[in-house]
Amino acid sequence: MGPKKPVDLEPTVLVKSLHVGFAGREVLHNLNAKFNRGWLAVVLGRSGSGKTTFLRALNRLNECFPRSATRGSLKLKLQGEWRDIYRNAMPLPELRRRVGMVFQTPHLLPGSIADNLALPVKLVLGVPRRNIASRVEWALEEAHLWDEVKDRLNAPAHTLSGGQQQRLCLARLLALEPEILLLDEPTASLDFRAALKVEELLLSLKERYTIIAVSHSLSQARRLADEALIFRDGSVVQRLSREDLQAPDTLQALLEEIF
Amino acid sequence: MLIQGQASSPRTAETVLQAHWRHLDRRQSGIKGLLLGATILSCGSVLAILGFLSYFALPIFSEGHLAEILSWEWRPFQGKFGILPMAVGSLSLAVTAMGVAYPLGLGICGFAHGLGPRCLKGPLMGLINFMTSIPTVIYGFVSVIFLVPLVRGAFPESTGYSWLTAALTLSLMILPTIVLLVHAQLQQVDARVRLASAALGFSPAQTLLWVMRPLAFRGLWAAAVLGFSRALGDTIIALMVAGNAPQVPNSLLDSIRTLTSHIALVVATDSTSQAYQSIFASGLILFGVSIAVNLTLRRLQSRAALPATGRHD
Ligand SMILES: Nc1ncnc2c1ncn2[C@@H]1O[C@H](COP(=O)(O)OP(=O)(O)O)[C@@H](O)[C@H]1O
Ligand SMILES: [Mg+2]
Repeated sequence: MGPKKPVDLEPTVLVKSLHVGFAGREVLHNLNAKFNRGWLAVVLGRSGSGKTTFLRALNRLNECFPRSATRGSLKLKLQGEWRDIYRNAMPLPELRRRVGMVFQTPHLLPGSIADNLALPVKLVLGVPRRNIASRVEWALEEAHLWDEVKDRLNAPAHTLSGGQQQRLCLARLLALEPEILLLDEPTASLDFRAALKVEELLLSLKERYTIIAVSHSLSQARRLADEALIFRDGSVVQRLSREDLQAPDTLQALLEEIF
Repeated sequence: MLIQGQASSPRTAETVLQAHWRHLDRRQSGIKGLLLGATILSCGSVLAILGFLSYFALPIFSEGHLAEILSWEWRPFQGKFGILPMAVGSLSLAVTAMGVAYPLGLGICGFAHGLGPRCLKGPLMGLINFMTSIPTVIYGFVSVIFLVPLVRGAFPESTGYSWLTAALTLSLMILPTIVLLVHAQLQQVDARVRLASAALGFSPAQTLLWVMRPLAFRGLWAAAVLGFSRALGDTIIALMVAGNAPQVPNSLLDSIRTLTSHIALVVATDSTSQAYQSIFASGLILFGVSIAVNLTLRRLQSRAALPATGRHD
């Protein structure tokens, strides 16, 4: 780890005056933010402050709920090109595979460990059958899961432990060749050791992706974050650098802000 | 705490609490008693039906009429009391009605869950719900007025009162059962997987086919089993539009008689004791089939909660 800074930060996500509401009640108010590739941003904030809604705005998942409304500009740099995703820049399935999301609890697809990876690869990416196995292996390697599951790829996915399931979800995501990773409290349902493994994985991925992770734990944020965004009532109220996060007095202030 | 606040001393508080608990206890045991009574009553009546049927069907075995009844000819005035044509009639009608209604029902559910536009889901389900509230006899009645002449017009060699007419009418009658069962299961599954599979980039159709279908298999089976048993148990539609000829049909345009309408017809006419025996045998067969169907359902339902879904919040 260490307090190193990548030499050139390449911005990939630009959020300008984003408003999101459900059924007439606004949840995110005039939110502005910027995220970079090779940079791990952690979002902190009280429960109900709009963290999940913010992540779901980035892959347009809020639209799965009735009467959601989104205003403002949300630009993502995908395939080296800036796109305003709410102005129909690309089809939804395409956007959602490029902006992958992992939820608080593992969401498995029906079937085996291999099925969980093969199905989206086949349906969403349209990878021909003969290439699927190698991609499954590659993704499991990426998610540091291959050694643990290589002998039981055809076992039902729910036989994995919670931590393994969550890493399987990450592997599934990576198999779809995303550019931006959204992680919504990915370790909230895991025990400490399993959580550390996921954190390790995230650190190993962060060079190549834009990662935005919501965290429920301040110590986790301190271990992971290149930058932390503090949410309150649907807006970003504070932005902290890695150094800020390590300083004891900000810590105290943060504890009061968040918990 | 509330009780402490109201009562002047801890002792009275305690008595109040105890009285409260006693009251709860009494209420609970009252409810338990009621439920037990209901259980005994329903089990008892099922057993009683089985008992009566067996008792009345007993002479068939003791007097050696079994072979006569399990034969292919029903000519009561010539002493022939075979019910096998009716068994074939029941089975053919139920199978064909299911053959129409089940795919149609799955189609409707698919349409409501992702294949069709979202705005049509509400009206469609409203219509299906409305269909459940229509009395069966109305289906039969409407069929006599519209479908029978239609079939007669299209196939002049037929009277219109046929296997085909009954199958189509019956399929409409069982359609809501199938749709509502499958829909309920899909809705349950949908709530769990919708976000996650949308986040993977699945289209609604892909989600339905590849994620929800495997997870909803129990509902699919239950709908098939229940739909079939409703089709098999229906009396009034078969009686009104199937023509009731006691014969094994050669084509969809032939008239058929089901076991259920056979029972109704024999009971409604003055008949010999052997004719009566045949209806007890028919009843026994229907009863046996419906028990088998119920056991199948029970097995499906008691399978451990879907294992392949992982953990969800
Ligand atoms: N689908 C939805 N429909 C209506 N209200 C929602 C929906 N999702 C979130 N909200 C509301 O938005 C606010 C923020 O929720 P959320 O983004 O889940 O917060 P967090 O993830 O920070 O706990 C909450 O008040 C919540 O009730
Ligand atoms: Mg949340």
